[in-house]
Amino acid sequence: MDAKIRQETLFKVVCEVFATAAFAVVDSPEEEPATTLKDSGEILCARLEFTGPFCGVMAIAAPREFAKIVGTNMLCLEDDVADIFFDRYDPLKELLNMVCGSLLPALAGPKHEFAIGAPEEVAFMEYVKMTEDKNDSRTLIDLHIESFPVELLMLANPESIEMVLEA
Amino acid sequence: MAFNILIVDDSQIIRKIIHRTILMANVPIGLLWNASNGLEALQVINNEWVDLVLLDLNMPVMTGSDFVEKMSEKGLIDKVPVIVVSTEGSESKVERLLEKGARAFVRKPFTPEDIRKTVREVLGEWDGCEDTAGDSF
Repeated sequence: MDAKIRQETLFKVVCEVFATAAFAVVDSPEEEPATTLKDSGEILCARLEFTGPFCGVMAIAAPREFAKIVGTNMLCLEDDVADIFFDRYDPLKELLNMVCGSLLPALAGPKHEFAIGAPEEVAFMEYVKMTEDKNDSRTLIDLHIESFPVELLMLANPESIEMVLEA
Repeated sequence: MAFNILIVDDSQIIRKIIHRTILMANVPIGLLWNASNGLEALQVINNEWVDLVLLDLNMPVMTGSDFVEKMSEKGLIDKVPVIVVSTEGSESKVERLLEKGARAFVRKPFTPEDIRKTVREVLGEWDGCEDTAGDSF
C-alpha cells in the first residue's frame, strides 16, 4: 500500500470521526489556509502507541482554541463556559484515540488485532521531532478543520506495515 | 424503578457525553458513579449495587478487557450487564469480550442514538422509556 493510499485513508477517517464525534467539518484541501500551525499561538499535542501486526505511534497537533471548540461541540455546551468543563487536552486525546481505532482496521482489515495505548499529552517540540522522522511509513496530513490548522501523524515500523498491508 | 449506573472511561469528556446521553434517553438514574480505569471500577462494583456498566477498553492502570476478565472470575459478569463503548476495531477482540459475558458493544465515535438504543436493549423497558428526546439528538 503506497503512502498516497495511507494518506487518503487517514483523511477519510479523520473526516468521519470529527464530523460524528465533534460536529466539526474538515475544510476542502483546495481552500486557502487562513493560518499555519506555527502561527496559531499555543499548540496542544497528544500521542498514543499501538502494537499488533504492525507497531507505531499516532499523534495530533492543534491550537488550544481548536481543542476548546471541539470539546465544546462534543459536550453540546455554550462556548463561553466550556473551558471549565474538561481538561484542555482531553478532546484531542479522545479524538486521536477514535481516529486510531478506526484507521488501523481500515488499513489492515478488521480481522487483525491491535492494542491501542492510552493517549498522552506531549510537548510541541517533541511532536515536531516525531514529524521529522523520514521513514517510508510516515503518514502526515495537514488539514484545516473549522478553519483551524490541525496535523495528524502516523509512524509505523516500516517493514511490518509493508508486510501486513501487502498481504 | 431507577438504575444505578457506572461509567468507566479515562476521558472525562466521554464520561460526561455518556452521562448526558443517558439523561436525554430518559433512563431513570438512581446513583451514578464515574471511574477512570478498570481498577477504580472494580472498587465500585465490590462495594455498591450497580445495574449497568458502560465500559471503555483502552485505559491506563487496568484496561476494560482486564476488568471484564475480573468480573468473569468473580462470577459478576452475568449479574451486572456491561456495555463496552470503545474505539476497538478488531472483530475478534469484540467477539471475545461478548463471549466473556459483555452484553453489547458500541463503537466510538457513537451517536447518542447508538447509546440510547443499546442501553434500552440491555436494560429492557422502563417507565417512560418511550418518551425519549430521540428527535433532538
